[in-house]
Amino acid sequence: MKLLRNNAQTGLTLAELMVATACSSLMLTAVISAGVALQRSFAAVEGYSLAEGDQLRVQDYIAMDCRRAVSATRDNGTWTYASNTWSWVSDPNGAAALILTVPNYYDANGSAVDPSYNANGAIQYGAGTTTISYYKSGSNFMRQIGFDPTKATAIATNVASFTVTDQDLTSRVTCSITFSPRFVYLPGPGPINGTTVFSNTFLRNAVARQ
Amino acid sequence: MKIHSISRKGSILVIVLLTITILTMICAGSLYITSQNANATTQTTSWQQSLTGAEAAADLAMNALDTNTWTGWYTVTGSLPKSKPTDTSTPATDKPAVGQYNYYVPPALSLQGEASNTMNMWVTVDPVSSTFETNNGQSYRIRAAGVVPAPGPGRVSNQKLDNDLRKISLRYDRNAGTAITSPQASRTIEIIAQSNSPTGGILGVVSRKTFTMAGNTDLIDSFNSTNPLYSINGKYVNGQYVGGQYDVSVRESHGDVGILDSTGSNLNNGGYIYGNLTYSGPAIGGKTKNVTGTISTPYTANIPSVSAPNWTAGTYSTSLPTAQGSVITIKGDPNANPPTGTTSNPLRYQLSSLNLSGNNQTITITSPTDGNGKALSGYDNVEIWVTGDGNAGTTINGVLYSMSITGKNAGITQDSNATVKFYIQGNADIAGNGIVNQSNSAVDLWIYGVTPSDGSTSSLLIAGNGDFIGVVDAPSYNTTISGSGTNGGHNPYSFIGAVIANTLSVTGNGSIHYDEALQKFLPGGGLPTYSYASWFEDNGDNARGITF
Repeated sequence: MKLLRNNAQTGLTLAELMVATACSSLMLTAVISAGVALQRSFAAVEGYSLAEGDQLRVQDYIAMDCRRAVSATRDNGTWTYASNTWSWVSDPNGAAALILTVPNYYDANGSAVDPSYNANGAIQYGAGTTTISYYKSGSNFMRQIGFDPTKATAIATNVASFTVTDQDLTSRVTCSITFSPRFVYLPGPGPINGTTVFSNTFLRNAVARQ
Repeated sequence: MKIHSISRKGSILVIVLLTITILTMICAGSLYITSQNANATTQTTSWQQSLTGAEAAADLAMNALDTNTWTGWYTVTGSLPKSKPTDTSTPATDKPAVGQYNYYVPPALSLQGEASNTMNMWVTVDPVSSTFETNNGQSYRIRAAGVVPAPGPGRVSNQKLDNDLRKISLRYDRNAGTAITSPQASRTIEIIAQSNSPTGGILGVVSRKTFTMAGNTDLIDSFNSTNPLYSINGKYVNGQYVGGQYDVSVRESHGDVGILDSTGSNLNNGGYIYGNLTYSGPAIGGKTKNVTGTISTPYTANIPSVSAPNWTAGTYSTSLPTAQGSVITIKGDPNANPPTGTTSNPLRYQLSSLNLSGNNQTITITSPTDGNGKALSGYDNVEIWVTGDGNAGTTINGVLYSMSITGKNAGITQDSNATVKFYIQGNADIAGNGIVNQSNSAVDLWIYGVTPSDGSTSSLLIAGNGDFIGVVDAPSYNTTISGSGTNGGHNPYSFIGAVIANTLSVTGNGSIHYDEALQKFLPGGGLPTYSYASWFEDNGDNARGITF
């Protein structure tokens, strides 16, 4: 019996196979490189977006609270617990803090209260005031309502430094917050040191009275 | 026959499908994250735009209050609404009464940018309760809301902290408490608009430009010479209490200060203001905590200029009566035809200069007497116009003064019946014994600093050994009120009355005691103006337990 041969199943020559392999390798390399580059770009954009979000949030929070504050102070220190109460204790080696005094606009139920005049004829909301403070804790940037630091909220991360300028706390508050870089792959000049944002807000509530 | 069987399994297809699936998942994940970031960006933009809308609506309300023009506004009786009011049955014609509010819905604004293309606003104005009303007039509460659609899906931000700060209404309006059909950002601000003064926006102490207090014990406060509760030692004339004097025991806290351009203004290190401080321009420097009332901005009073008199020829003299020794006596004549020194026919003197100096050089403005020696009131209305023509005057320390009172005992004394007006052109130095107003009523002595047509300014120093009781209306004069008289001034020196100046400096532990009885006599007139006394953004969300 004669062995039949299927002439349609012809193979590739070695040369053809090598050319095809080379082309495929090139294409695969290009695809992988593009993918890595795209992922890196995405990571950079995502890092930028997160950083922008943090920066905007910090600025919006500080601006909102400064606008409605009746006074502002800056100090270095810590919130300290003693005699069953939290209080701010100045310490030159402590964290820089911006401490704002805001009218008690809300009652115990969280409802807005009507304004009134105090004995000196100045506008006031409710009895007493509420303290809102900003400070850096580790690499977090904290916003604290009241005196209890355990209830503070980290409103931003990756913060390298926070300063409050003493320039004019009776009328406006100037802050600067430096964020560490989130995405540091820069083959050219090297990683940037960080991004600093500035906040300069006028104290609309009758100027701070320090 | 033997047939070779060759395997044709679809391994390549599986690999390709797997690869495509992985790539699709990567792309989908990236797109999801990217779309969330984009969503957060538009929400942030809408949130910030809505504050701009709220501020714009509040400005419209301030303008309506300042001009008392309520075109497009409606009045509603009842408590303030939580959502955009719709009752258009009663167009507003005036400020709302207690228990009412006026509201306005401005036309929506078109926007261009990353987020929404529309900005909606609405604002209400209601009077604070009667307990709010002070001597300065009714205050009003402005609540303004800016609402901007947040394009994109009704999806919370991928960052919880953003959701705590920026309370985007996705399905539910937290302010109105109602469901909504598309996401929106809504921000509400509450402003207290405080009247600068009930008439005309002129306060007791007004400086067009720089205002400074230099001394540690400089003081500005108020009293009321026509109210026995807020003054002492007054007297009753025809049943009216008049001539009450200032005393710290009856002090009031309406020594309000208004500054049109606060550039360079400074309270320095200790002066107290018992009243409100209202200004336009940069923030006031110095120890502002010593302002006991409200510090607010802007201050928008219309301060009229002072014109030179336009006397008819023959109705005035160009020289004072002849001195008897060193004393010049001015008094009307009830027997003249017509009587002189009356309100309708005051004694008028137009002088190129008026300089009193040295020992005992004085002017006495007094009443004529009847046959029994009793003073006749109503005949010592005097007007003296110092023109400064021809550079007339006295030079002191290199400065030419068209009017000056210097020297140990030089001075002008007006008796308790006299009403005197000085019109001054050129510099003036009122020291020595100053001008003694024996009526104790500031309304009886006016010093008008005439406003030059060329826009220049002059200087006015008020010091002296005794208190000054009168009104200074000199909007073109750089005025200094000094507690250190040039010749042995005493502390505390008091300026009692009201002052309008170009720049105003209180030095040497001087005091200004604003007499509230002057309010209706001060220039300005017109409508009261308002300034911000409080600003608050309500960013709470009671349903989520979030307040500040």
